Amino acid sequence: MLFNSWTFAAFIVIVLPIYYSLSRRGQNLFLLVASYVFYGWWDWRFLGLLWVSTVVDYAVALSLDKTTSPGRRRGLISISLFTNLGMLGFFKYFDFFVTSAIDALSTLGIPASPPLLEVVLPVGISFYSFQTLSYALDVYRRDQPACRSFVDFALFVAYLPQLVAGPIERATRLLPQIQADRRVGQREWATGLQLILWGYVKKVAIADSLARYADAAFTNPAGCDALTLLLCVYAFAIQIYCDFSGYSDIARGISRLMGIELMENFRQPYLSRNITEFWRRWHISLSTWLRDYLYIPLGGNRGGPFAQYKNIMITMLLGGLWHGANWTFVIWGGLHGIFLAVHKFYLRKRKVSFEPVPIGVGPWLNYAAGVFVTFHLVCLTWVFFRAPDLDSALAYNALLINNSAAVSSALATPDFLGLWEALFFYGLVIFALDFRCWRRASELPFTEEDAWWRRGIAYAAGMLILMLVRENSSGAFIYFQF
Amino acid sequence: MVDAFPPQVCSLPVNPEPIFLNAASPRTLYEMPRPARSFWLALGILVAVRLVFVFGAELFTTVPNGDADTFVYFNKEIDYRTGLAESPKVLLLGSSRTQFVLGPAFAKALNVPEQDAGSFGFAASTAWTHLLFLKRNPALLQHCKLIVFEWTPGSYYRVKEMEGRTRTLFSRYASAAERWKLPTAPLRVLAFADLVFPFTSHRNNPIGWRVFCQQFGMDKDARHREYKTPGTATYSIARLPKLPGWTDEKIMRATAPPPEPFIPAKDATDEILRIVPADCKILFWIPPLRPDFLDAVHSTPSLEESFESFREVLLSLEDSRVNLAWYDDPNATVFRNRDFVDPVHNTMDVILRELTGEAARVARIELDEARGQ
Repeated sequence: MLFNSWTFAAFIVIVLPIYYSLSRRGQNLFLLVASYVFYGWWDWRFLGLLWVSTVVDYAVALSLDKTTSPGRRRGLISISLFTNLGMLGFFKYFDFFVTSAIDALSTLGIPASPPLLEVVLPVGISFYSFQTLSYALDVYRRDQPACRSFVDFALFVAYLPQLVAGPIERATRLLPQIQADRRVGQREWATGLQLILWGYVKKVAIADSLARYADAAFTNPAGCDALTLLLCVYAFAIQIYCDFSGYSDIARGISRLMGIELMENFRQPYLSRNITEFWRRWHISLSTWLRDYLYIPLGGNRGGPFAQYKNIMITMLLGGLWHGANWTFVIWGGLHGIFLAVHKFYLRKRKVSFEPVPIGVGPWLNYAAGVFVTFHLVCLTWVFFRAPDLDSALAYNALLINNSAAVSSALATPDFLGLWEALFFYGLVIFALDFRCWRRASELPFTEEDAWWRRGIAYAAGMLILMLVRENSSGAFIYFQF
Repeated sequence: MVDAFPPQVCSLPVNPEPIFLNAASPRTLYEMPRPARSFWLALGILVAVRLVFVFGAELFTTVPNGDADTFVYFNKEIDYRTGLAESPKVLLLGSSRTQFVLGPAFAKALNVPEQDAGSFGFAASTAWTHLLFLKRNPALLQHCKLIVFEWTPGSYYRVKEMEGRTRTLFSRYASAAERWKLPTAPLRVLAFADLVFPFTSHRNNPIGWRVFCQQFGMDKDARHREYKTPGTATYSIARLPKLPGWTDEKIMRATAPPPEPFIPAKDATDEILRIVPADCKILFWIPPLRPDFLDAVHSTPSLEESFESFREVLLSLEDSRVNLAWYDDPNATVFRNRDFVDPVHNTMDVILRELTGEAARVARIELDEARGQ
């Protein structure tokens, strides 16, 4: 069941009134059932994995709470790690590692043909595995008491707005909200509905409209001239941002209508002036997860600069692999790791300010130059992220630099007709929305600081863009595949 | 040290925007939303836009909708409304297969004056599309003696019957009764929702709206000239000879039998029979398919079943005005594999020379028969 489907619209219209009519305990049980229906709508058989993860971590956490023996505690947390990472590894990475081993052996002249699983990747497994794993680790570290109520904990794992594509919530944030009485007042209605509106504009109007250009270019890059290829990388950069942040906004908006606050996952990442800032603004729930449960345990910045660079690289390579079982994602993570390490090296030589809004012409120019460079570095990595395999990514980059294709301009062919218009129009819309949020350090582009008539026009414009300015097709969210 | 990763963010909004005024209920933690002025203003704007669509529908027909076929469709209509002194005697209503069997060439092949023959082929057309065209142009039927419908099982049993242009046209022009007859509840809900706000029928991509702005206020001739700008001309020309995307597999999928026929297709057929004058003959003409594909149809039970059920629908119409011309013997057709760009569409040369001639030949036979009667 996709957020951008009429089925989901009908589903949520049924769920919300029932939810409001129940007591908190009833709400949690009802929401848990609704979450399972939501997830099972895609494939009910994979609910079993969700239950295994839930039951194991619930039991492990309760046991961790009761025991003080370090050895026993290590054993218990190992069970959680083995279960969650084992499931993730089995369903997501088994075929990848086997295929990579076959390739490596064949280069050595050793033929091998072990069986492949070829199973469907359960939707959201990367997200809920990390979420429930972080809970067990928090209990192990005694940062979080074990949850006594099975229903509450199961809802923490399966909470429908963020079950399949995050934000990856922490137990310290989400569980207390699940265990407390919720309040849905005018603030929640106002901000929740706005988040949903702008989320749908991002996903349905912008991301889905730009998808056809990026898909066409990455399917057949050899048929495009360099300018078209470059514009299609921009198109994909906007597409993936609007796709994922649109999903996060819708999830947060729906959750807010349920009286539960989810963490912000994106904060105008393309307005970052350097790569470090980009990672403070892009997929925040994952980057903080990796920081707290991987980077810092690895040593973080303790142990000198080279140890820090090494830790950054390990974290980013594994972060890349988290996205998918493909070397392209590993390269994507590796490139970000290199950029971050280089930036760290640069920061050691020079102090950089991080004022939210520059003041004066010089700082603004500096800021614009930083945004330009950062955006293009990120775009370079998107080629690896989007390409189906490593060879295609390298070929795409090669064609970007030196394309002597016979076609004078692929922009005149049917696949790319309207690319300029689409990039200009949708780029302007997302820039306008993000720029307003960035200047005010706000999650919403329009607030009570704006005159009522300006807000009214903005809502109407959002609705009109959503309904009247887009392509006919609408696709699944990109991050569902992770 | 500037950490590589951000601190955890608490996302309480800064100055949340009150589109709803405070209406706290003392009895519950849940408050009903209460619209504020900004909400009413937004609603007012949406209502105003809706009214513009209602009262300015013709104005918006200038938009190509990101789809040249839609524009061609409307322009053919506009041509008829403004350009013809009286209705033709022979009318060919077809699909993408015959959209380049042009009226003047058809008339020449029929050996009749140009104004006596009209040809209108619409890509991805359905029975409903043709019905809509006739309903919007009733003058076409005034003196008409023969209508040739070029249909295929693929268009009649269109699996995605509410996709793309068909959906746009249906949502824009269908009556409430036609919307109610849609085969599934979700389609029905969407079709009725479009009456409230035309989010399907008046939707455009940015290039479509750009062209609309360019064409706003132009007369028909100017619109034609503007439409034939280099970009759009390339678009039209690039897609015609190659017909990109029409692979054998796609054709096979498109003609595969659905579980149930699109209900309005049968209704549309009945309605066509009702509105066509009593003295006007109707010929369902199913032109030759590529011979190897036709072989595949006859050797594939599911495809054969689909074709047979389509034939049964046409034969069951029980109307003395109706006749059927179907080329289902691969050895009897004059067309060879090389005359096609895919299983159903002929090359442009063959369309202009042989298919046009064949359309005229079957029409001539019908006219002669009618005269003999």
